[in-house]
Amino acid sequence: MLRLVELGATAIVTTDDLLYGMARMYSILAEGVGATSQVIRDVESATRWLNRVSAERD
Amino acid sequence: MKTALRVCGVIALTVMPVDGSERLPLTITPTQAFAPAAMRIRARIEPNADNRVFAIVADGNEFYRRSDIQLDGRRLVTRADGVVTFAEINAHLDIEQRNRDLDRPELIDARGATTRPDDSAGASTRPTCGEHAPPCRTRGHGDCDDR
Repeated sequence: MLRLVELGATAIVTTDDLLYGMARMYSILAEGVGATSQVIRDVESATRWLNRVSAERD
Repeated sequence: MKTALRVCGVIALTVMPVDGSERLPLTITPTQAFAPAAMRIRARIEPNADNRVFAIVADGNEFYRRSDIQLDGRRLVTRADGVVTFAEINAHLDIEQRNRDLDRPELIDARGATTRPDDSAGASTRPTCGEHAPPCRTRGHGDCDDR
């Protein structure tokens, strides 16, 4: 389904190497439609990244 | 039955003002099923600075399952476990779209997720019935799935 709305930043946390790679591919594809996403290996870093991105957007 | 029961939890939090003293409507599907079975629990609450943790507990004679989600303002928190399929991701996005949550920042905790069906078979060895276990699937704001 085509989604004509701005997508919020998405942080994906995974420690699985295969899932990390697939999430990275998703992240790259998502960038193509203007979605900001990042694949990160720990929750703390993901939280910091989301805070930073949210602050930049605000 | 316990080991065969795969439990996945999905918790997402949106749009109804709720504090600890209010009743929170939950939607559970299916209401009955033969084991092994998957069930989905959905709850929606309004993000609020006073709300710190959202917990859903299923407690029975032979089953205990608890899902805790840290609340963080307007951010969506999603936890995923087991095999994650494209259909599930799409369904998650549909829910977020319906809830008008697509523009909100989201943290997807997929540390318990896998893309390999063989790994999900190992899910039966994870603590499930009668044992305290972390939620295995949490998707989306306002949605809590126990599968």
